[in-house]
Amino acid sequence: MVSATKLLVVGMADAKHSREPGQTLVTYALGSCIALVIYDPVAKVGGMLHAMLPQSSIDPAKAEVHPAVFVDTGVPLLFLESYKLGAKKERLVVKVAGGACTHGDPEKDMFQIGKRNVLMLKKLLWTNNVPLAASDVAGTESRTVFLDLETGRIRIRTPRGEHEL
Amino acid sequence: MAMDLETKLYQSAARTFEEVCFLLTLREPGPELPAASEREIGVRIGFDGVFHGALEITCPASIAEHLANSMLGGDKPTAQQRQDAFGEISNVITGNLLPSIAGDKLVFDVTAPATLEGQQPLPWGPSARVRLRSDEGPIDLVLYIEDYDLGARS
Amino acid sequence: MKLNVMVVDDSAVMRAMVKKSLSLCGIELGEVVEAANGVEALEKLASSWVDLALIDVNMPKMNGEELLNHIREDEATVPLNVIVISTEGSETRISRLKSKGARFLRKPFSPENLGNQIREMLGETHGDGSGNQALPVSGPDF
Ligand SMILES: [Mg+2]
Repeated sequence: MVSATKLLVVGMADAKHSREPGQTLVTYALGSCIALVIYDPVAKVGGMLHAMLPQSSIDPAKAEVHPAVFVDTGVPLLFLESYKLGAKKERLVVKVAGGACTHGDPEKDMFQIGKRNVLMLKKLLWTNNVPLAASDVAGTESRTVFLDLETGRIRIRTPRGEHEL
Repeated sequence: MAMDLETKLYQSAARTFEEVCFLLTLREPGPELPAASEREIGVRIGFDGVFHGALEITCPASIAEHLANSMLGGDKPTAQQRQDAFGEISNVITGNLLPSIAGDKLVFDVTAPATLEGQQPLPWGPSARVRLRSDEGPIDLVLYIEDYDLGARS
Repeated sequence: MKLNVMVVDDSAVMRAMVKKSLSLCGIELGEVVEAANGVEALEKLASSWVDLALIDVNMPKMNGEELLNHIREDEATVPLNVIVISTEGSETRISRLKSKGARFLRKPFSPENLGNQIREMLGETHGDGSGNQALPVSGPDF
């Protein structure tokens, strides 16, 4: 259970990696933000990105300093850093959660940040030849995401309960 | 409440652009006639079944380029690939749209998509017209259905 | 076992997308051949070994449904695995295709959808859901 392992918290606009089997990566309360989770089951290297906005072109200076704010700069960072810890691209299992519409009614959500984040992510993965193994996106609920570094299992907690991704 | 034809056209198109090209499109409230510069690339796809008609899609060349680029996954598209990609998009939209209008029991034959350039205008007035707004620019869709009683089926 | 696949679609862009999806869906691929319509597909079938055919419906010269009829009429190709990948929205036509021993995958599709269809067709399980699969490394960016 979570209490038995050490929690490594991934903050908003942040990316963290680990290869310590006793650890669990966690990011809390994703709304329109997305968490991209990657895991190499052989090297037991995992990484998690909590990105807020789809595209760095709106503020390149910010992206320079905080690449994890944006999906298009955060995702390459997440992969490249994992390689340094021994992960191999062809072994990585890639899953995504978040991208909710927290305003309730998607029709009234002018900016659709959640959907834009997910579309940008899918485009990046397609361009870079990475399959998406699972996704839990859209909807209106906030999500907290856990990655167990020992097993690679991902759990998602919402106000309604918990499930595996 | 039955959904009107324009909403069905919008939804079929928006879903296609998202799933095929990763592009978010929103519906422009009151579509005006597109300027010529915004209709550089065009495609027409015909369908024939319990009713028959055609769908025309037009947009600036830069958007068509962007769409093809997304579909190919980053490779720079040739002019031919750009037209091909646009045709395939029209094919997917039509495939989504027809069952949403006619139900999923009826069979339609869909023609191969063809470039709009040099084609005769259709002899019917438009049944639905939708303008989409995207980060890349506008995309216009016009649906023509011959002798179709929209009120009875929508 | 490596799978030899034939991709039949009149759109070259769609063929490229199907091939890319094939390379991403975790199937061990052998040779991949392409055809732009039913006539070309029959020629390729006569001259190369194909384990699985992915067939579009709307094509000039010979459409996917006619192609499927030919495949099922010829002794040599009767057992061929066929997945129809199409924008077809009519349940009537889809069940007609299925009755001829084809699976159906609606466009647009994802590499994951395609992989699942192929694995189901070959009678394999979906695995443990970990998505753990061998992939070619070819991305320029990450
Ligand atoms: Mg076709």
